Parts: sequence; structure tokens; C-alpha cells
Amino acid sequence: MQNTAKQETKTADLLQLGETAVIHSLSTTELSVKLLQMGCLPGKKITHVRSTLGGNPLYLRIDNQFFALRREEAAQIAVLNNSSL
Amino acid sequence: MQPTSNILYLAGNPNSGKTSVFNHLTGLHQKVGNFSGVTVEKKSGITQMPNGSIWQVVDLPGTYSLHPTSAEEYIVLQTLLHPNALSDKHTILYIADATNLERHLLFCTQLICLGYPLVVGLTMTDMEAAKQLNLNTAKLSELLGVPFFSINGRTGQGIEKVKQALCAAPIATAPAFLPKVAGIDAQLLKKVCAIFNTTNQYAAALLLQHANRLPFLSPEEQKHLLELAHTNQFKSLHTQVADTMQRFDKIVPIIAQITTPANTQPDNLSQKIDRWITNPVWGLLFFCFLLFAIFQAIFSFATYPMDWIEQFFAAAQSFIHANLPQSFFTSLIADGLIAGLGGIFMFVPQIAILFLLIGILEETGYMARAVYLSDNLMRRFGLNGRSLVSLFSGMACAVPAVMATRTITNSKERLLTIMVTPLISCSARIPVYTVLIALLIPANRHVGMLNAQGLMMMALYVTGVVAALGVAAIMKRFVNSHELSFLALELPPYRLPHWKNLLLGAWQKVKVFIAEAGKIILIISFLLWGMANFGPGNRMQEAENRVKAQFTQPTDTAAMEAKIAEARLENSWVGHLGKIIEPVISPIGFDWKIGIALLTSFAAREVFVGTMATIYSVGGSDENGLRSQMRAEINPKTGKPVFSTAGTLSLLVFYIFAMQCMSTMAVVKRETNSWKWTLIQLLYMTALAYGSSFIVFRLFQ
Repeated sequence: MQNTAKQETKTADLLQLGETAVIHSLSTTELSVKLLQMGCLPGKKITHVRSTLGGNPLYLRIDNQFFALRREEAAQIAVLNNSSL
Repeated sequence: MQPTSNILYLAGNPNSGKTSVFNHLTGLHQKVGNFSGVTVEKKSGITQMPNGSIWQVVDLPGTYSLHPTSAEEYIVLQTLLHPNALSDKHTILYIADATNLERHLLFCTQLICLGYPLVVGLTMTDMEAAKQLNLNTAKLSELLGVPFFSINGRTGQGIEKVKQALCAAPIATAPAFLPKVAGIDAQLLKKVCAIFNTTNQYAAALLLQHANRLPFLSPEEQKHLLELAHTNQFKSLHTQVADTMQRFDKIVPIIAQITTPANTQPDNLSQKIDRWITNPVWGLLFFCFLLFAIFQAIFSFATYPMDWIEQFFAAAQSFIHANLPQSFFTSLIADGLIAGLGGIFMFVPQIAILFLLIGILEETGYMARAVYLSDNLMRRFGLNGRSLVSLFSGMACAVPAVMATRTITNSKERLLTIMVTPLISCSARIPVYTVLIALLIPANRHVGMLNAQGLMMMALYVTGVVAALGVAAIMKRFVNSHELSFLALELPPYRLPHWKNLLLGAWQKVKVFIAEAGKIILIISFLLWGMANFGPGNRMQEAENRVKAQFTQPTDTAAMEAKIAEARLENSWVGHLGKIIEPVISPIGFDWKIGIALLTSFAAREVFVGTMATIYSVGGSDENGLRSQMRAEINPKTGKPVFSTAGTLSLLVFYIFAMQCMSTMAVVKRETNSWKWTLIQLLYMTALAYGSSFIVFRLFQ
């Protein structure tokens, strides 16, 4: 994992509307276990598709599936910063 | 019927099509109960195999894996990890979505590692997305060591083959998917295995990971496990992540081997729909429109069957009175039993229609979108997007609505939802609202295009919803929870609803209502019948004689009988009780007659109308007669009409807020498992009702 360690990451709640990034890792919390089980795996693409009036929760696409995640939940997901690619 | 010794567990992820398969297997031979000791719905049924044997099918709640996060998911773990279940080796029919195998196989491989004999039913294989994958199921069977069958729960296609495979020969146990449990020291697992006298290391790992949430463990066993975990610095969450990751590490290459890496695009139609339906503005407008449409549907469609049911029971009552001799038992059957049954079945049309509509919303996938849209708003009130389903259901009946809170993971959000759901106006309030609104507003009055009575009805409903949210917002400050609140919701592709699932779903809710609420309504009907037909000493007889003495010429027997009924009720136990509570309720504009109606409403609120008819000496159920009698009623103490604008509004407000339903209280007690919260709910609702009625009465007087 040495090469990825150099890349900058940010959390998925910071994705701009329409932005796509690659999942780098998940934190170790009860939430992440749930997210992992739902198919939110490192290496998959994640897209911020749309959001609600208050900007929370987020409508996300992970691989070919769609999920509603609250911002705190998306914050458990670290994605590779596109600018560093 | 033969004894059912064979048990088949149905397991799978949410949205896997498991319900359709269960409905196809069991049809009407299913029952809804509870998993022992907990309030998670247990659906089970029986199915006949091709060789004639009868199998019991248990539908386990949909879950993503054996590492649980909600009460429902814990049930799956507790059921499958139970020593008896493990030793009996019941067969599992695992339902997996072919268009999304990677994720659906995770739970499957965990079940294989627990050593269960397992058969996989692949659903959605007829979808375009699945066809593009060119699934090699033979190869998949070989790699996992379990048989795979392509099935369709809607048409039933392929299910017969699964049944044949299940009863032809015992299903062999597949080799463990992972030879070694990830992230846990082998020595530690051996120690756990030794305690529980098992060789299954994966079962040992799960026991260790979830020791504090497994009720089948004895206190000593639990203590032993927790000590082992502590001395070995065992980190449950880390090992759960490791287990999940290691499984996916092996599943991903398997999927690559058995599929053609087609350029699969997600369901475009669903995305096109969602562009509008989940749009921050249009989506909310559509949501409001949908609420209004459902509201209208319950009102207009349910009226006809409700009238038929009412007429049927009224006819049955008069038939018994006409054909049986006047006696204690005739009255008990006609006025106690038949009246009680009528009160129960009256609500069936509304409940059936509402749950049919909710079923459509859930089956199509819209409900997940509604939860997504409302989550942010709901959270401000301490609720969860999932509370929406309960609040919706509360429009029909609070009993199934309170039970629907089981899908809410966070115990605080679930408790708050339970606490406020009875404030949503249910179908039992409609007859009360109708009579009182008619007193208040003439039928032909319009406000612009809209009927004024209809608007008033709408206002009462909205008041209930606003109160529910307001109470939740206040109560959330007093409830502590260390539990995580989360949404993490899958938004599945839109699908057409399947009529069989809809009808069976609605039928189940109706059964729940009749079983849960019905028995209490019936008991209270009997109790009230007794209290209304007996009085202290022989005062009721004396009152009757007095009325008879007034009617010297026996010309108008109907009027005399109505007066006798009124006088008897006034002097019965319930009449005395009404007079006892009169000092308490007179500040909000109610007299002892309304007091009696409030008391009888405890069976079900709509009993109010019948009681009023008796008190005001209206023979039969003549609503016009009742209305004019109520309008003419003068309070002897104040000399003013009882049903003035102030009095009627006060009573309406009281019926929105008051907890006048024993069935709801019983189900709240069971679901919260706490007398404390049941009493808090009763107290706050009574206080809210009394306080608001007081204010309204004073304002309009």
C-alpha cells in the first residue's frame, strides 16, 4: 500500500455534485462495517449524484448501485483526491 | 396435516426478492408471530414438497451479513448462531440477486462457513442487466460447493426445481469458504470452541464478536467470553472488518471468473425517474401530492365497504333483538358481542386500502426515496426517515403503525416514533370528526372552490401531524441514547409491484389489526356493555318506571323506548362514572353526557357516536336526528348550549390528542417493553388534550 499512501485522500462527503472518485479506505467504525457489507469497497468508484434541499443526505452511486447516505456516513469513506491523480 | 419436522430458513439481503419467494412457497399458509422474547416480526409458513412432505418455512429478516446493526439483523444472527439451530443443521434457501452477486454472496459465504446445508436461488435472472453478465451458474456452484438455481418469485418459475432438490436428498454441507477466520488468533478461537464444545471456528468467532448481544448465552458463558476477549485484547469491530474484507477479496475474483465483464450500466429508467422524483423541489411536491392522494383514497374508497359493514352489523343486531326473547343473553349478544365485532370490522376497509397503497410504495421502491427525501426533516425532530412509514400507517391504525417501527435501528428514534405515532389521526377518529364537524359547519358552505367541512377535516389531520412532530422535538431532549443513528439506505431500481405480494401484505396487516386490536376492543365492548346495563341498586329500574309513568298514553312507543334507554344509561354504572368525572371535564366545556362518551370511547373512538345516540334518545343510527338533538342540548348549569362553537371545537381538539385507545396502549407496552413509557405517553397525551381543549374552549367562548 506504499504507493497509495502518498496519494492525498479526502472523505466522500466532500465530493462536489457530479464528482466521481475512487474509494481508498474506510474507517473502523460500526458504520463502516455496515457500508462495507452494502458493497462500498475500496477500489470502487463513488459518485455524488444529487442531494436534497438541506444538502443531507447524499444520493450516491457506488459501482452500479445507488445509496442514500448521510454526510456523517459518507465521511467514513476516504476517497482518492482527483487532483492528485 | 402431517407434523412438520423439516425446517427451511429463507435468508438473503434486503431487496433480494425474498418476500416474493416466501409468498410463492407458502401462499396463504403463513402466519406472523414474534421471535421469542423480542419484538421482531417472524414470518413463517408451510409448504408442500413434491414428495408430499410438509416443510415449515421461516422467513428471516433481510440482512447484508452476519455482523448485525439493527434489531432485525440481530435476530438473524441469534437464530442462526443458536446452538440448537447449529446442531440441527436446518437447510437454508439463500436468495441472491443475480444482477448484484458480489454483495449478495457475502452473507451466503458466511452461512456456508457456519456449516449450514444451503441452496441458492438466483433472482432477477430475467433482467437485461443479468443477461448481459452471461452468468456461468454451473461454474459458480462448483467454486462455492453449493447448488444454484435460477428462480422467479413472481412467476414461480424454477421454484419447483429447488423444492425437488431440497427433498430428493439431504443437501451436503459445502466446504468452508474461508479455511481460516480472518484477524482472530487461532489459539483464542480454540479456547472458545472448547467452551462451547464445537469445532466450527467461524461460529466461535461470531460468539466472541457479538457476545454481549446473544440472549441464548448463559451469564457464565457470556462472562467467560467477555473475559477471554478482554485478556486477549480482542477488537470486535476490527475483526468484523477483516472478515468482510477477506470474503470480498475472494468473492471478487470468483465473480470475474463466472461473468463476462460487460459494460453494465445501471437501470437508466430508474435514474430518469429519480431525476424528477428525488429532485429537491419537484420531489417534495410530488411527495405532498402523493400524501394528499392517499388521504383522499382512504376517504372515498373506504366509505362504501364501511357503510356495508356498518349496515350488516346493525341488521344483525336488530335481527337478534327481533327474533330472540328480551333477555340478558339477547342483549349481551346483540349489544355486547355484535356491536363489538362491528366496531372491529368497520376499520378493515381503511386499513386494507392504506396498507395496499403503502405496499405499492414499498414494492416499487418509492418508499426508499421518500425516506431519503424526508430524513433531514425527520432528524430535526429526533426521528428517522424510516419513521415516515409508521406515521403514514398511523393514518389507518396506530397498532400496525407502532409495530412498523421495528425497522428503525436506533432505539431513541424508534421510541420517539412510537411515542408520537398515536397523535396521527387514525380511521377510528373519522366518524367522531364527521359528526362534530357537521355540528360546526353547514354541509353546503364553501371556501373558494373547496368544501368547508372537508377543509376542517384536513385541518384536524394537519394539527395531529404538527403535534406529533412538535412533541418529538421536545421529547428528544429528554431521551438519552448512546446508540448510533444512521440511514445508510439502498435505493433499489424501480420495479412494478407484484399483486400477490401486495394482497398478502395487506392481508397480514388486517390480521394483525384483528388479532392485536380486535381482542381488546371486544373485551372492552363487553365491559362497557356490562357497565351500561347495570347500575347501583335498582336505580335503573326506578328511572325506567318514572319514564313509563310520564307516558300515560301509549301512542308514541318509539319515543318512550328512547327515553327509557336514556334514563337507564344515566342511572347505570357508566352514567354514574360520567357524573363523577363531570367536575374534571366541565372546565373544558364537557358535561356528564360527553363524559360517558369519553369513557366508552376507550374501546375504540368511534363508539362515541353510538353512545351519543343513546344518551340523546335517538333510536337507531339516525345521524340527522342525533345532530339536531345535540344542537338543542342545553347545559343546565350554564344555561348555554353544550355543542356551541367553543364546546364542539374543544371536543374535536380533545379527540385529536387524547390517548383513547386501549389497543394502542397494549401494543406500545409490548413494543417498548416498558410501563414507564406507556404511562408517559398516556400522561402527555391526556395533558395535551386537556390543555388544548381548555385553551380552545376559553378562546371561543
